Amino acid sequence: MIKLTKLEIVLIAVSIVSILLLYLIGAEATTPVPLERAERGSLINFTGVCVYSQNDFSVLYDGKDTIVLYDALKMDKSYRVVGKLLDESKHSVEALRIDEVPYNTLNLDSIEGAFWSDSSCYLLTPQRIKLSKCLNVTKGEKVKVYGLFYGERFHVVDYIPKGLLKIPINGMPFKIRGIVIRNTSPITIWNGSEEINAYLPYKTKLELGDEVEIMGIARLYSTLTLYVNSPSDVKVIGKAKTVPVGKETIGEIAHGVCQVTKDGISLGLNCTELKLYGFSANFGDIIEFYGIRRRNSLYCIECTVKIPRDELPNSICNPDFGTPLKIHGKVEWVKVYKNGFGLANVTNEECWILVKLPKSLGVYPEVNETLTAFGFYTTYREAPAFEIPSRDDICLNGSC
Amino acid sequence: MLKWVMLGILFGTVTGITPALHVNTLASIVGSFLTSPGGFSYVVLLYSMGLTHTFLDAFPSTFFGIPEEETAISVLPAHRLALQGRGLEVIAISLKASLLAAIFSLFLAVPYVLLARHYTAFLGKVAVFLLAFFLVITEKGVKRLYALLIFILSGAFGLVVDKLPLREPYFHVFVGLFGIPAILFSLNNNRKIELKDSEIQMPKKRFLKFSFIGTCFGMLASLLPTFTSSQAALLGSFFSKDERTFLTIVFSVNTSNFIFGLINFYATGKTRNGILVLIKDLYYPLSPEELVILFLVTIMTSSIVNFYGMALSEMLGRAISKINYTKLNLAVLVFIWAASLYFDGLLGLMVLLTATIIGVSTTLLKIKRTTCMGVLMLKIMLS
Repeated sequence: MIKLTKLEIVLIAVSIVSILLLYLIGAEATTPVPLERAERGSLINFTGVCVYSQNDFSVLYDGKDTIVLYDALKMDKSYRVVGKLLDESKHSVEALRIDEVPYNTLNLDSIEGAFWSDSSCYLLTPQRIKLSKCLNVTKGEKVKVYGLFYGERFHVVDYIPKGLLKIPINGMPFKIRGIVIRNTSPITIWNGSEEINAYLPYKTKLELGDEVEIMGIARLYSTLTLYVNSPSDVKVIGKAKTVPVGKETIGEIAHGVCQVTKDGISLGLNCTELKLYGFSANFGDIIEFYGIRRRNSLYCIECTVKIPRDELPNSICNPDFGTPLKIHGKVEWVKVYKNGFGLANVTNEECWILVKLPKSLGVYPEVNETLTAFGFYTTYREAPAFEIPSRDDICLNGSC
Repeated sequence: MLKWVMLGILFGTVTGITPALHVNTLASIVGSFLTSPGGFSYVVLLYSMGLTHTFLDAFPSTFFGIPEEETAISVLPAHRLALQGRGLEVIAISLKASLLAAIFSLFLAVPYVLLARHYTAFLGKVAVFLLAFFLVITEKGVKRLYALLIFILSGAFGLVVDKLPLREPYFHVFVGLFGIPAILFSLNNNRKIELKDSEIQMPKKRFLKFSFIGTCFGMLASLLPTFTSSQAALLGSFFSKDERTFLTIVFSVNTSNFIFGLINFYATGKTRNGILVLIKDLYYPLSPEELVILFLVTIMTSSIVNFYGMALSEMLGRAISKINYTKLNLAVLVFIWAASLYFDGLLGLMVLLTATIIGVSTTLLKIKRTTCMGVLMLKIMLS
């Protein structure tokens, strides 16, 4: 058994006393100094936001100075560090104590803007300010952020969400809800009171009549226009209401079975004064259609010819004014005036009718030819007559 | 590039043969000169300087009796051989074992990278607990209690020193704990140091084997925090039978620890010594091509230092042998006190004194001096 000698006991006692003495010096004589007055080895007290952290390396920033710590801290949290300055130029610090502190102990900047995310997260003021982290708020939501600018980013320490913008501001995010009434680029949305244009991301398609929610950056041109940067900002939430034709308002789908009274780029129908676009049919065809109501027209969503005009009955013995009808019979005589206007008497043996042949029609049938025509009953010198709207609406001997 | 390697070797030689100059202190001094980023050239300079230092720091450990923390446990065997006139043989062992460790380390680089990537802070903490336990339990009888006492005293000392405004805390701590006690106990020795030949009196096969064991322990030392070369050497001492095999392990650990430290830094970004901290500040990360260049620098530096290291040591050894040993040691003591005062004034001196008292107590209690590593270990255990 080795016994402690007096010298050993004294040395151990002296070392304990020395350590205590050093402890007292450390606790009292060395009050932390501000970073700007610190020298290498000085004890410093620094409060800042963690603006960089990777593995065991972190950087704290207080809006003026940075310190480097060889500790793992959480990004964008605010910390108070008491530690020893290891390097005056690089401000590397050996931390002795690290406490997470409330952000209000720091002199932070605050910015109000709208949260935005694409490849990174931003605050739009409407200037784009890159944020150190994404916020847990809806894209486009107005938010007040507290933090510090460091490098090219704003390091967010805290934030207060303030809801979505209620009126559009140029360059700021805006969310709209409405019905797609035009689906070519830019698409047009009817929000119940106005038309809004939107440029969608590449390959993002919407159907006419879709009820949608769209978030985009607003541009206040003559029409409010949204620039949408992500397909996830386009949500189809339903379909427009379908109502019988004539009862629809803008943004509703009109449904009806009607006869074409005028053909061309758009169709005139006998059931509405509005033109129907986006579908092709012949004068006299009876069509069934679902069309989205725009400001002054309808646009076909789903349209079919229900009864082709060829299947209409021969109306030569049952003239009805104001309705597109078909006549079929043999040409009994033809008379052409000097001004090019012509008349043809068409009969089916039982009844006859005078067919008006204006010069613009460019058709002069021969006697005994079989004539099929689509048009309206009208009068000629107070006698019943038949008027053909265009060359496409007359067939001679089966040739149309 | 060659210019920077040669400059590094030159600086490393100066610091290597200077007593009490720890690699971290060296990095700190050099760091104050390197004010602007110098690119990869500075990395080469610092690395070759640190590597050269590991080859030559056996010189002060052997001739001055002032060990640095890494070689603390080697003091007694090295001194024993020096007193037998075999001081130059110790230097020869250091140079050759370090060269072999450098070669082995380069061969073990790939498995080491895989190992280093699996290292976690938790594993490090567990290792520190095990080491602390190992330090105490390997003592016998009541000495276990003394070891525990010294470990706790050193640990408390480390915690207190951390809070003091010191520029070079590790200089005062390590020189006080390990260096000054050795020199104090050698003050009574005024025999002149005899210098015989430098031939290593050990079979080549055995030398190779122990150098390889040392390299493996160096690998471990570079992975675990606070697991110093001294502790690695302590483990190695269970394999060694005499002073020469022990020293072979110690010197191999020292150099391989430094080289594996670089590889660890490349693979994980972790810094295990002051030189690497400085490199990280100046130039990070290293590319694979740059690592290969540093491997070539390793071979070049190791070869060059081996080429002139022996002749230089012989020249310095002969000069020292002509001086009164007590006066020499007293001069070194004065140098240390002056350095301590220069770095941190009276507070530095006070820390040095406290560390010395703990170090002297350790020696008097006849327990392993590496128990004083509690100065770093307790801090990690409590974190």
